[in-house]
Amino acid sequence: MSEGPLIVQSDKTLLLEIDHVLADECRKAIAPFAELERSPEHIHTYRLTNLGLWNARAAGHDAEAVIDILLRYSRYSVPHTLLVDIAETMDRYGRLRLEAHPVHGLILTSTDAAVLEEVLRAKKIAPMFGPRIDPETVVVFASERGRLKQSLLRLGWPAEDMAGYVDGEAHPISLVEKDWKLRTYQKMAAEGFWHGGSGVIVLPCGAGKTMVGAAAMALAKATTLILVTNTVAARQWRNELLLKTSLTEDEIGEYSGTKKEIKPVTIATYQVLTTKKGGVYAHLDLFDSHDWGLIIYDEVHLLPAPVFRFTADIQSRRRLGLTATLVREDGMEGEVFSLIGPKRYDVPWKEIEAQGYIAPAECIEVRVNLTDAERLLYATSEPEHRYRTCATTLTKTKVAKFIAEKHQGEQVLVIGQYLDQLAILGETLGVPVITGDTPIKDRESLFQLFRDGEVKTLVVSKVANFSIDLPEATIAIQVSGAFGSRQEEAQRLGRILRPKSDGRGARFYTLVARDTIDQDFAQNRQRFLTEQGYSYQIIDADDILSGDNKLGS
Amino acid sequence: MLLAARGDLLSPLPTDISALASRASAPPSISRALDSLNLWEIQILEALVALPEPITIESIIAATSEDAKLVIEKLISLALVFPDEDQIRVLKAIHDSVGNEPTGLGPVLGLLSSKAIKKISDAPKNAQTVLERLTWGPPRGSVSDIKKPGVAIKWLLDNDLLLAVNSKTVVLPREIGIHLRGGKIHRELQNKPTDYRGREFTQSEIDKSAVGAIITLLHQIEELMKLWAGEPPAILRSGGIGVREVKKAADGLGVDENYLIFIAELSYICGLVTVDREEELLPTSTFDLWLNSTHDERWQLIVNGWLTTSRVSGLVGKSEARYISALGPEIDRAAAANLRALFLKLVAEISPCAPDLSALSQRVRWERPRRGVGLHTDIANWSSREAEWLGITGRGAISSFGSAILAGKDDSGLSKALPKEIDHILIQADNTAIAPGPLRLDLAQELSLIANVESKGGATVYRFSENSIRRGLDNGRSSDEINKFLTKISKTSIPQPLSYLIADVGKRHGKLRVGIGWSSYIRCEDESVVNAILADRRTAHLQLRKIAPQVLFTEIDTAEAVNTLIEAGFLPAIEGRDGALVTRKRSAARAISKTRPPRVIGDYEIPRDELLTAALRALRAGDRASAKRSGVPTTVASATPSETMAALTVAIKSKETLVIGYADSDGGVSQRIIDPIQVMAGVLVAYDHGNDEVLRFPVSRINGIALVE
Repeated sequence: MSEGPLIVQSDKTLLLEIDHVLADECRKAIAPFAELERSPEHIHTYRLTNLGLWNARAAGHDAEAVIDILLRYSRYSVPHTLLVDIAETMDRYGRLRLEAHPVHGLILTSTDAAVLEEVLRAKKIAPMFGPRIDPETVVVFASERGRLKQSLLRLGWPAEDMAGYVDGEAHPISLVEKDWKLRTYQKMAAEGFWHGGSGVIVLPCGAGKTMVGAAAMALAKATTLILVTNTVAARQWRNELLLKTSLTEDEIGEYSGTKKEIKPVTIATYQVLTTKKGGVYAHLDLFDSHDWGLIIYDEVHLLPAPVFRFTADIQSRRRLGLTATLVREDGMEGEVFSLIGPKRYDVPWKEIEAQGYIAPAECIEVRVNLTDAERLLYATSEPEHRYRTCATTLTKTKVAKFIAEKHQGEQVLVIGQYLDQLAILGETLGVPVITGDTPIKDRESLFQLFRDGEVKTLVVSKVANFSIDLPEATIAIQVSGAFGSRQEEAQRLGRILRPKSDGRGARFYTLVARDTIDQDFAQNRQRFLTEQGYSYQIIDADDILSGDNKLGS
Repeated sequence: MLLAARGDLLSPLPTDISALASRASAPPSISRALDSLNLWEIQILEALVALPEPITIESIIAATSEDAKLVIEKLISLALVFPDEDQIRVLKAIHDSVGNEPTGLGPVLGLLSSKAIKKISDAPKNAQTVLERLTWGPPRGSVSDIKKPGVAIKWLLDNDLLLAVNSKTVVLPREIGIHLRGGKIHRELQNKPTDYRGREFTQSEIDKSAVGAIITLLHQIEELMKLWAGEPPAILRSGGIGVREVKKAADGLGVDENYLIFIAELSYICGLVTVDREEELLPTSTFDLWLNSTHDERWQLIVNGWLTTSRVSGLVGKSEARYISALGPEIDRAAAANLRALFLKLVAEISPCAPDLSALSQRVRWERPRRGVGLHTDIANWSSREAEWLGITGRGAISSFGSAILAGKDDSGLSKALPKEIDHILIQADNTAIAPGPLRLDLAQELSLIANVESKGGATVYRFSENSIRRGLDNGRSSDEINKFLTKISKTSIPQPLSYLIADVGKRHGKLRVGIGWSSYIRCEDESVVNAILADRRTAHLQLRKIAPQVLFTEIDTAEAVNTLIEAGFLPAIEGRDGALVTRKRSAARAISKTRPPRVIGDYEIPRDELLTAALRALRAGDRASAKRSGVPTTVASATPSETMAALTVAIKSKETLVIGYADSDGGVSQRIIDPIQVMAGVLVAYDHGNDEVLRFPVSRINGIALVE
């Protein structure tokens, strides 16, 4: 029995022992077909999924190569049934192919007439087809390309899309690497995307996803539509692009609630795209307004449903998705993959941290007690108010104040979900509060004051969850959140992960009400980060307040 | 020889050689013997039946081929045909079983035939066509009216090339048919079996794959039993379990439905699970014993169950017309074990090659054309799939463990091939612990008490949670003990959140107590907890009443009260009448009914040597007895019980030898030659000449008695 670093489990998970001499080699070998699921300190877990195996096929790896890798690195024998399963799954890919036909336009062909027959009989997708040309070929309505691919994926017969991309209107864009350089992983990510055609790049917050986008634009050299979560993020993108690419102010347009500019590079918000006017999405025309060569989806895990549907219609354009956490609490990861494209690049957070591109962070869970009165209130509250009742306990305000004072002199963000709680916190701490109601202008100026160090502490709502660049923030205190959302937890940690000028580490406090549903949600929220190798320390609020715990400072 | 080849003749043991001879030529036994022949041997037998007498070795070779000789010898040793000077004669029972028109040849014409054959070349064209049509059978043709035949038919009838059977049917006589077939009987001789050799592997490749399959198999069976102990599936009224139960369990285990059906059947066959009180399926105590034996023993039990069973799990759900249910009564096929053994024998013969499956299934059909008709391909395919699942084969070829178990060895060598046991785990910050190999059983059991298993295979992944730690505490562990245990077996330091979790649950455990009984009380020194429980709407249905500041009362029983509290997020512990905490032992559900594995329908095993020797001795004794009994009356006059008793008393006194008519437990009456010794409580003790031993005969079963003169 060979002493390999990999253990293949019968439930299709792969365990990789990372202290093994062959671990690195093995990780590179399995990365093309296995999804990294967890990467804590000793053993990383990968999973074999149909999607992953098909993506590997699409990237040119065949079943024999995959099986060979598993056998080579596996410590124990690999169940034969699993190998058979891999071979069968991978064999399903490419039986159907989408091609561009000189006469008929988009066609679906198959070398296996039986498969085509099976697919044509599926009720859901029958309307997407035009006339049958011969037993192995059928015409597909071009507008259905995305939807068809999605449906075929669900049927278990993923189509190989050979129909190609339109180049879009060319536009010169290049990176201007004056006082900075594109990092190795950013370069690899951009190239990985370009070779794959379309796809998703997963990088931790603060690792410079914007620059991956810019690098991709420089490769495409075409007009680009960038979709971002909100106006503040749009402006940040704009500033970054102006600073680090050859683009000038005249070439970048903003398409948001306030401005409606369409320029060779246009940055639009998800919100404006999903705004309805008279029952129709008024701004979806933006996609057609220009012969875009590239569409970038920032924070693709937040992609709203209408944009989803629209993406299905623009399958012939190159699409790049950027995200730190491809976990959707609605379980639509699969849709993202089939519409934007497969995951092209992914690195564990801890690896980027080791390279020094994101700050090391300590995560601390502080358990606070409800007062007796609050406990009684909690017990009697309606299920839908339960979380709010315990998450907004007054004890949290007390503890947050204490911690903020402890870290006087450092830049502190207090993050919460409930506006009244945030208002009380702002009042208690004597600092400004930013919520969705704060005008964009005020928001920007407050963030700028914070960046400049004039304001040391900010209380923010979920508007600051994403895409807000606050380089010098080192302390985050989370008092409440969107229930058990794993990606929100990760995004919030991401706010303080920009490397600090003095190399200081960051600290992420999360205040949790003991013995309540808050504690359960916290556990779920932390899962993504612990699986990325972060370790939470749990301490009692009473110990902090009484001074028994000096918070390590 | 004969007994070894025809095992059915041994049960029950014939009394002497002449009884053996008559049994061997009886149709049921003949039919069994024919079942064991291959297609080529059947062809020779058909030829023997078809050829007109007298048949000699030469004539049979002429009609078939040179290698017929070997087959004839085998048929003789099976007592299916016998040599008579230079002729070969065939038992009548075989004629009956082959039928009147062997290989589509008509009735024997006899003396007229040679004259008729000479006429064939003169036949007009139309008549030739008719002959051609009838040559390869069936030999009968219809005519509209025999009285007014067409020209061709009339010519053929006139020349004895056709015979009239009735007013509408004519038949081609056998001699003519054979002549037209060029002196042969079969169009194609099946004397060359198909080669089924496929891809070749090294033994280590094969074994590696087999070990993986074996580990999965044993693990999945264990999981299935545990799953069913928790949620026993209901038994359908028609027997077996329904589609939904199969789907549910397959989803639960994350396996394919066919695989699930297979391991469910195996568990049932081996008695690991049984039908409890005729309503649901539950694991048995055999399962617990099985679980505590070594991997090798566990595997061997399962494999032996599979080798002998007549149940064919592949049939489940196969028929579209009617659902055949798993563990149901309809999946026995008498030929299954026989064909399965044949399959394995064929695979073993080409080791270390894997078979080509379609060629192999043809070969199976060739080897046993009369067994499991219509099932050959299915059984070959299913056996191949199942042998792979069982690790008897790996990548299609026979594994070294498989060949050991087929050779009847006690040690299959599996223990050496299994990965070494380990005694440590790695605990990680995400509250998981990983045993990177098979964990020592005692450690695994202890660990699964305080953590939930998340993934199994070569390694095991455990996850700690508040609930899992609490389970440990409920089972009498203290948080200190848990900490010590983990520190001892973990190669890595325990992450702070985990030690916090253990300490935290430990601190709270037992604070809130529920008293035992039909009604329960809930007490906690922390009054605010008591108030919170009382105020919580999720506990409303307990109809709690506060009987003291720290005590609540409910009329609901303890188990229900505890469950409700857990669901509402509290941490109750059960308190005994003495006020001490009651540890809740995890007791898995087990069947109360006696284990009744399904019976095996099927073949007589090939008798072992000891049995054969014993049988021979008995036969010889029987012969001696019949030689002695020159004066034995052929039938024994029937006697009333009182006459019997009187005769026995006299014979015991005068030490005489008697012949008795004795009804055995099958209801058949046999004659026994005995020396009576004594009669006690209605049972005769006597020396039996036939069996050469002292036996007991209930007097009520003796229906006749006479003196041997």
